[in-house]
Amino acid sequence: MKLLKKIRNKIDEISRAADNQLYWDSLSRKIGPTSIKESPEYVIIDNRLLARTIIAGIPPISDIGGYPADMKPTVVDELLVISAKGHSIAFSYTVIPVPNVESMKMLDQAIFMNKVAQESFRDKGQDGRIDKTKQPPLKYGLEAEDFADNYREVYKNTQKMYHTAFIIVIWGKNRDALREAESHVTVILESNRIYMRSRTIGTWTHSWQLSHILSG
Amino acid sequence: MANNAVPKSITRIREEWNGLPVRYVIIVISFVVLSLILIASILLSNRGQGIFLAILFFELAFFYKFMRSPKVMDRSVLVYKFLFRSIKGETVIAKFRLPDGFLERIIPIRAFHQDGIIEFMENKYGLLMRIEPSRICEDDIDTHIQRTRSLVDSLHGELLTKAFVCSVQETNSRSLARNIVNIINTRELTPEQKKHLDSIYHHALENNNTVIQWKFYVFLGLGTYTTLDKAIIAKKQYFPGFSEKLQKLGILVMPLKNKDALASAYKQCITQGGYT
Repeated sequence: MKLLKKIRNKIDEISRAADNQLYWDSLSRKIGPTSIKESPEYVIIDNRLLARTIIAGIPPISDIGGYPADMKPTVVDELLVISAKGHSIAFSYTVIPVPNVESMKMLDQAIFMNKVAQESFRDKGQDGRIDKTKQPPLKYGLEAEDFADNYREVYKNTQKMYHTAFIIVIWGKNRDALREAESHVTVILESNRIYMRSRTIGTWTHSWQLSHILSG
Repeated sequence: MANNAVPKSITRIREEWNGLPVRYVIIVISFVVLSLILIASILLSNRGQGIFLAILFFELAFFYKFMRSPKVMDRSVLVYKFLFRSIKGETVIAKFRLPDGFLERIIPIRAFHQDGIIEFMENKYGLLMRIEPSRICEDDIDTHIQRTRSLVDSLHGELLTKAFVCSVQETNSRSLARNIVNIINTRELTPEQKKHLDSIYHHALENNNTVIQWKFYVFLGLGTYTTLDKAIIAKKQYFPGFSEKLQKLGILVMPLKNKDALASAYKQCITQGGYT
């Protein structure tokens, strides 16, 4: 039995080694760096370059939007003016269209959830009448208006909805270079009232965010 | 996480015949010849046919298990190479402390096909283009925004787009000197003009200040297709319209069709090739 196990282990090991060899001969191997080490703060490439990713448009709490409603179209211009001395910066912007039928369904659901949330604040008295002293937060009202406006635009086919992702990648040879680059980016995003996250969020590690840029 | 340093292997170059590796063709021919000999032996010999039949069966089974395609053959050869090394006591089996599929997860590219079609994991396909955007003056910005919106609105079905802008540090000498040499070599100039360009060239070479250049890429995701042929059809169906819309924005579009150019662009997206 022991001998059988030993043989089986050996076969497993050999088989794994062959698969690995095939993998390293593959395209990913040719494109990829010699090494990638992941840390919560950044990805270390080839043991000499640090890469950190920032996701723009993510609010600190879900109650507010990640981008301002009146965002200036010149934000990207401002970002491109950053003088990247000692570090490098890249911006990736993804646009995935949402079919109008699906958009309407999503908005319908959002409007329904909004109504449920508003109703939950209006406690009813014993006599069945609504207690007018208890009103839902104003944000639900504003949200409902936005949903209705968006629904109208989609219904009239004057606008389309999109899933978007705005990821900023910073490369630097050390932490100081990364911090300096990040400060330039943060100032521009904050001044345009764009919220952002520059750390690992759950499964959204820095390498995951890099893969998002590279994937189809 | 462990240090994932892995030595790079030398790229294997193999000769091909009609898209198949020559080694594989030789092996297939050998198997066909052996099979014919065995079939002839079964038909012509008076006795021992059962043995020949068994050998033929094992030969075909062996072929199916280990040699049925060039990919399977490559794997089998590697497995046996490692096996022989193991038997000989050379148990230096390459060990990577990298979790399975880690790099594959970061770089989910399966292949670069003809005409620059990129195949990703999960049967997704796309195209990568290098672009040179034009400069827009303040007066034209509204028209430009409208046109850009029209481009984005033209996305439909499974199409998606990604814009990637990457900073590259260059010394003044590199780009300027390159342009000057180009002008000197391609245009007819007077001796005075040549002398003037020569002085600029030397001045550029002496200037070591770095300047930031931006490289612009646009990726067009074609969607998910079961075969490459369907992706090629999708490219023909979607790309010309998208490219034309980009050009109407005053953008110079340069689709990356060459495998090396694609690999280089992706490499830059990860490791900032120009920087390291």
